[in-house]
Amino acid sequence: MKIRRFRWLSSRVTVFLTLSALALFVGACSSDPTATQAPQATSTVAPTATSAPTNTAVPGATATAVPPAPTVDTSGIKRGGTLKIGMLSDHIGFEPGLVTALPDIVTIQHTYDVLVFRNPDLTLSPALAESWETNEDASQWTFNLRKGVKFSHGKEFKAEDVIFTINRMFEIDSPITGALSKPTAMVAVDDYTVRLEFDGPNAPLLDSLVKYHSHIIPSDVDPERLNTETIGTGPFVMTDFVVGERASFKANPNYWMEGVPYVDEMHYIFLPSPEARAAALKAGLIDMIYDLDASSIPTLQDHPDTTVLQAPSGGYMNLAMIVTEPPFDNKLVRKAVQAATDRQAILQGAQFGLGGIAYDHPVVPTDPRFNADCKPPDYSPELAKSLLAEAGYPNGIDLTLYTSTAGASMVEMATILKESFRPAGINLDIVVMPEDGYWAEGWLVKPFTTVWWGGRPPYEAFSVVYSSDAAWNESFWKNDRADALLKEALGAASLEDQKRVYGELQCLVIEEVPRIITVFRPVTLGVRNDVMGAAPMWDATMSVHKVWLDR
Amino acid sequence: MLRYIIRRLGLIIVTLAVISLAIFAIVEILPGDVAKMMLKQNATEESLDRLREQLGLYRPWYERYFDWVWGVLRGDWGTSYVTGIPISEILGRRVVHSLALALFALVFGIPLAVLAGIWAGIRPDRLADRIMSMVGMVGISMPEFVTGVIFMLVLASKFELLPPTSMMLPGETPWTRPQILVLPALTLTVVLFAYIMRMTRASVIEVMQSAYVRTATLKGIPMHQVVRRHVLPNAMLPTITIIAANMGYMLGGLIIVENVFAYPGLGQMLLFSIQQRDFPLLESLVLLIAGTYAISNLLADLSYAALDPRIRVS
Repeated sequence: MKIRRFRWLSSRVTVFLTLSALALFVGACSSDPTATQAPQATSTVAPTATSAPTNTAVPGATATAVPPAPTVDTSGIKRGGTLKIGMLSDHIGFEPGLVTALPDIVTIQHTYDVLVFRNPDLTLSPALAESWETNEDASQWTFNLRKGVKFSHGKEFKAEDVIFTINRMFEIDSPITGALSKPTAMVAVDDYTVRLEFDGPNAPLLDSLVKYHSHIIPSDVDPERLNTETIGTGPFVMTDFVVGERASFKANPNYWMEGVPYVDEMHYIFLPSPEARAAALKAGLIDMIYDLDASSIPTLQDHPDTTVLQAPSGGYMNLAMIVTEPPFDNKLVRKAVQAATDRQAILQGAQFGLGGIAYDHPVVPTDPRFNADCKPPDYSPELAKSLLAEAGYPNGIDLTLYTSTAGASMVEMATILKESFRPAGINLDIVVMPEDGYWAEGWLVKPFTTVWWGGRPPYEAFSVVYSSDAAWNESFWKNDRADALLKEALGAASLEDQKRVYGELQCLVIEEVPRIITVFRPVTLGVRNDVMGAAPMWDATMSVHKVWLDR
Repeated sequence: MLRYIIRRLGLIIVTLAVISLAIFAIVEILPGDVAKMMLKQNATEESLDRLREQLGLYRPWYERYFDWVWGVLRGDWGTSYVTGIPISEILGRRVVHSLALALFALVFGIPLAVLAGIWAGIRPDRLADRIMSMVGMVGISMPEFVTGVIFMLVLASKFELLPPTSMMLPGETPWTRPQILVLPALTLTVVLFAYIMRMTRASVIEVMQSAYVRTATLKGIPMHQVVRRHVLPNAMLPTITIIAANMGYMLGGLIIVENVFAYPGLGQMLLFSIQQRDFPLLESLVLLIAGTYAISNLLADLSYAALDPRIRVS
């Protein structure tokens, strides 16, 4: 009897694991480096930001326009109460520079602060840095720090903490060091002014500093402790953490932003099954679901007491074609695949219509640097057919696409592509590889793979995959013009320069087609109707700094 | 009797030693590298190397095994690889939660199944028997995540009688909020119902046909007394085996039930430890669950002896 029980149980386990694999994997995978697609504050005024209240110009330097501290009408806001958020149960550790699991990321976002905060609408706000400026070629950046800010253990925040944080990132090999250049010098001009110096132009610096790996840690605490404790300046202070069960927070009474947060207490409740999360939200046991499972979206939209909030993210799904291997060494074949890709069908079928269409490059259409002049052809099997004939495949071609359930809706995308390719004479074989090992044995190895990426700001989004020596150059595409443009982008401080450089890059990768980027992925939150001010974030996380409960 | 217990306890220790060795071996050959799991796509060769060194993965497996066993014997279960939290701290509260759930099912669910089995066994092939057998078959045929989700949809979402998840806020325990136990316990009971009911039914039918029951009936003893005094003590033995065999399952094997209802017990932690490749945690959990199986089987054998004098003699 015992033996039978074991066997019977293990078969159930397998089924359950398969069913929940997608949901669980979202948690595991969305933990990779995500970032922005946003206007960045450089020497020019970001188009969405208002001009600066403080222009502290250094002689010979260009002053940075800094948006003013946001003044929000708080008259209708109800304070107090407890906010309960249901989420996945992964946990690895809390050290900001190394954080990878989704629940850990949102934990540090609410217990620490960054120097500069990127708002849900992609504008920048001062956070621990009240203002910042850069010299002419963007190789020196000076940050004027907020005074009187305290860490949760009582230490006052000062320039030494910024320097300590950045040193720590390089010491522990934080994933962010792939995008952040190492400063040649870091100078604490005084307690509240810090200057970062680089060996060359570094216009995209703020894109790194707004990310979750860049939360400022205190310099007087052994950083090894930060794996199990959170000691930050953020809006909440963690009071209790039980692995796989819950994390509890209380509002930080000394938070520098006046009146924030609005709730008194917050709990993360770890609910591994997506059905349990949706049911708990509908029953009012929790107020919010972070990282909503796609299958829960329709039922929460229909329920009278709940709402689904969505925002497009810069994260996307794409096809990678290794251009050094046949048949993808022939550009005409790649262009045929491009013309045979039905993006609209993928958006509807794989993402319930949420998110947005992408045009084979990683810049989102809401970004001011998006270039509307270059676009891949609309879905056209006829065009694809003639391109194939020109490439030497008049009778069509057989392709094998490797995919996996290892994140996003890659398998769904592959299935839709099979139908989308058929009228063009492309016969697609789909090989679904196991999640374990897909990133090691499929991606970067097989000639034709599906991939998904977290959102990144333009410089990083291009440099991590398109530069000749990039470790993640998944199509092995090497292009001198692309390398030259990427180098130029480092010094492109003004929006005009950036529009020109990134605009040309967008046209180049559409024309050369090393990768086909089909859709941008959505960020979704499920909330009770009386939860106000919750915001899905540009980096696929959420902000509850200004959530209040209308009850 | 004492010698019997001592011999059984000795056997349990041998069993646990074999199991601990087996789980260590399985973990060794399991695909997936804990260092890679922890660092994800950001892993570089140097950082992987450093982490493996830190976790002691370069030491030979037998060295790690004996270190671990020695620690367990001294009451030090080690530290979770992934979270850096002492395992005894993680498992302590989980054991309490799992015990609460098992106890709840034991007190409310299992007597129900036993009663149903007796009822069906006394009057086999009547309508009540047929209905109960069918309910049992349906329950056993449906996977737990289906039964669980159906209960959740009907009892929690539709009629709002019970909380759909078993989450606990700070200060709450299963004892202060027993309603969170109902849905997982109900799902668990459905799974066990068929086993226990059918086993009870079969042995009741068998005992009912025995000579002594016929004699008792012919003597004119009322039916309810025959059942209570003669049928039950004899028919309960196989049922107890089933219940004991399921104790281990109820404590640590409820992976699916606990995940569906987000009940923070040992089963949920087991899944977590597998997914995160948190081997020390996994090994400790398996050892704990195996220990429960062994001890509950011992208890079943001892209760045999209490119920049946013949076993005591042999």
